[in-house]
Amino acid sequence: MTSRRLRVLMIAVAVIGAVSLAGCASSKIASTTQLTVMGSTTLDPITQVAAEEFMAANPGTRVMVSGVGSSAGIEAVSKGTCEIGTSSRDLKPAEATQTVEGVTFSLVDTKVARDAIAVIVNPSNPISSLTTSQVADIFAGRIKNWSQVVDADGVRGPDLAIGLVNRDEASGTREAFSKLVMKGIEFDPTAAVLPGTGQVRSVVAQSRIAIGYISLGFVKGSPVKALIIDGVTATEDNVANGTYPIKRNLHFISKGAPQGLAKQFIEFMLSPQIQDNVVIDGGFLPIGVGGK
Amino acid sequence: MANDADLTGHDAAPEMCADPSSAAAAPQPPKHSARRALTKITRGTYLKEAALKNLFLLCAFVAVAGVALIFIFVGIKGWPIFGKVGIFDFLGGATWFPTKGHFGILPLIINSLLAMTGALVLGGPLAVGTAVFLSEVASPRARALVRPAVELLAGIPSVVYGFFGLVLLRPIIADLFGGLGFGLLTVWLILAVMIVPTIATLTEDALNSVPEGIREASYSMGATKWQTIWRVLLPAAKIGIIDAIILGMGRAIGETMAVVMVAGNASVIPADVLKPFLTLTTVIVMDMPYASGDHRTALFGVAIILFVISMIFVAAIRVISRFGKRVG
Amino acid sequence: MQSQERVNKNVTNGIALAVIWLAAIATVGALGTILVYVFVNGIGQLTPTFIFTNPHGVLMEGGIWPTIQATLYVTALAMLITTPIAVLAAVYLAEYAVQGRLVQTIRFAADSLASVPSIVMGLFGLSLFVEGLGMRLSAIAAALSLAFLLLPIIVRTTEESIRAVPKYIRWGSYGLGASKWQTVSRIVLPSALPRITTGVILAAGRAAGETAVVIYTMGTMINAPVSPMDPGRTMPVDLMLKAQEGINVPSAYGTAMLLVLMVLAFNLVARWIGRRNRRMQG
Repeated sequence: MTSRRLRVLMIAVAVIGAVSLAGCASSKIASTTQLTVMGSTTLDPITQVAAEEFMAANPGTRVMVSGVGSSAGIEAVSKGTCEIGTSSRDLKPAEATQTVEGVTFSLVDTKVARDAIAVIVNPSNPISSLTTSQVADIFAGRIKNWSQVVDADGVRGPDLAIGLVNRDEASGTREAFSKLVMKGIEFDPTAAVLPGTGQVRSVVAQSRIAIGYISLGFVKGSPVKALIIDGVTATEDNVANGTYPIKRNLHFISKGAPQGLAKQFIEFMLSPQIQDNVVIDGGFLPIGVGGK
Repeated sequence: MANDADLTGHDAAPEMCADPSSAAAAPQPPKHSARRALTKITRGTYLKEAALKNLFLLCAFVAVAGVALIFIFVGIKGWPIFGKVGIFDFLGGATWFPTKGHFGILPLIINSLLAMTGALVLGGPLAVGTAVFLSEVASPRARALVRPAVELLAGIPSVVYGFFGLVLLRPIIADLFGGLGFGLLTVWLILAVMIVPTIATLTEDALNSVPEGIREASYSMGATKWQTIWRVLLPAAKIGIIDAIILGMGRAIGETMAVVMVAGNASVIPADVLKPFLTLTTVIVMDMPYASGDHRTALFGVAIILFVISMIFVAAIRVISRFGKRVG
Repeated sequence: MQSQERVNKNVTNGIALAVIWLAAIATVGALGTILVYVFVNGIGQLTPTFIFTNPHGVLMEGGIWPTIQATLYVTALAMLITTPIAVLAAVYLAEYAVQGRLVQTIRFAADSLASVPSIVMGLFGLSLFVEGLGMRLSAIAAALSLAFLLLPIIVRTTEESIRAVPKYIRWGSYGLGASKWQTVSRIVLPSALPRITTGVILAAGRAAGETAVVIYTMGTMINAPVSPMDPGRTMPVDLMLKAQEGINVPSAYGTAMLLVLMVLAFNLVARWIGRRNRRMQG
């Protein structure tokens, strides 16, 4: 009786072992038709959808997408953890060409979409336009009360403490905002740090003292007000014609020139099927639009 | 104790009854093998018994191995930061700005302690009150409602608490008190509810283990229910309640997912209870996705600190229990 | 004078008991608020499409089926690993152990393990299983990490269950000449089985709701695991990411509601087993 039970246990262990071994083996075999894409949380939604459509169009392939942040994505592609790293910021020189353990390689950057960052406030906020330097002063914590803010139309804000909403450091949006708006000035360290675009949007939508920044694509149809920056309204047209100042490119990064499945996927990403539908649905601009 | 009392109460008769029923409960009646075992206890049987005993001991030892492995594998990843920054600058440094090379976790330690203390002040009385209710005050019907509620509170995943705090509690706090709603106040309210099951269950056990005779003695001297609870039962169960509270402290300081959603994650000591703040646990969640190099090492260093804090709490419970036994 | 004192005494008693009632009501109220809020907002989400289809589109619309599969998979795997070890460890502590330094060490270790914050357990799993043993982000790495979290929980409930089996039942067995293992395996464990099962089910609920351990050992990739080496995103991780991203909040409500329903189901099953057992014994 006892030995029978022990035997059952041993068989169970053996089966589990066999399953896990088979698992290892199968995942190794599968890796030839498998593509891993890691990086920007900004790009994550559209990359996920592009991956789904790519897999539907190319049966037998598997594209795994995970949003881990632009820097992590670039690091992952450098280390070879993934074939494509996605980023919402430009490569730093130190990243573009790297030497690891005596081997020098360069990362190749393919631009796949354009994005603009909107500075958002609650619709009940009377302020409707600011200069880039005013925005920087607010996010640096130099201006702490809305009554210190006067917009381009001469409207003064109410006597309320400003509720700063910042993004986490993993965010490519924060990095781009820091570069384009803050220009080297540190963010106020007492600001709330939220890890997602939607959270920033819903906090700003609910609080009349709040100010935050999100991708222009996520402003559409939500109860927040995008501020006019340096006299230019945050619209897709103004991003396309280059007048809106807070804009950036979104990148796919590969280690060396993309090859095989990675190359196919990047080409697919640049095809009209993705550019004219998924990219626009995601709130971004196709890469062909608004150059320069 | 209870078992012994049972045994002296029941005599040989129920034992006779118990025998066939328990034999029937076993998968196969042991008649055949029992006779064999009676006739000869072989060397093989003896060896098998010894081997099994050691197998069980090995299983029990997995717990010890687990603690050692955690210490080693979190340790090797985090230890270098102590050498690099210096343990005192790490623990006592006032600035946490890892991307600029500042690895002082003092603000995070203070914030964690602030979060824990407030949760305890709010949740401790709630939990002890609930435990007293369950053990001393409640009618069977009320108990049948409250006890499952406490168990369910323990079962709800912490991420659900966090989500609830984010979508319902945070906007309410923001509307009532101003600010964005991310801050100590919101975290205290969430954590207070989360530590209720931990403290209440153990406090109830402690109260239940106070002998019934002590209650009767108190009532017979004309004490009211409250006087009995306050002057007799709570002091008698003191050690157990302190243990429960320390465990609740551990739960509060180690909680991550519920806190990260409503704390606001600013790496400074907050100016007031409505300002965002970062703790030892939430810094790991926030930074892990992108941390590399020394920054990542520092996060493992924070994990070492958290591990040590939890060990200190467990050791404190040990010491207090031993002390209590000696006094009692 | 004396009657005045008695009145005071009774007034104090009344107020204090009212406060105790309030504490209990607040506790139940907190649970009620959470449940009602999650249910009211989540019930509309719970369609067959939501539960049984894959997510699609830019906003992860559609279903969460892969996350449900991943949750069940990793929970089952963790229970499969933990339960035998934990039950045998409890058998040792309850039946074989002699008080001494060894047993004290084991108990101290179990208590310590039980109070390790889950985020530390997550980093431990990342360090040992994912990176150290090269398992990468996988269901097996998550299950092994969860095993350390669940071990002390199951050991404690099992040990209590074994100790609750009356001693005279054991004496009956020994009296018939049964060996210790025969007594334990055929008499004690079967009698304790319902209570052990209750503990195991509640622990499974804990595993299914765990976020911090799983996110660092199994990752966030939407994937229904087939082999234990596959990564995946469990429901709690999915809820956390959706809550933090804040784009697809309705779906987060749905996931939260499913999680709460799952915990409710685990609790009810455990309760039902406990009650049935009591009726059988009584």
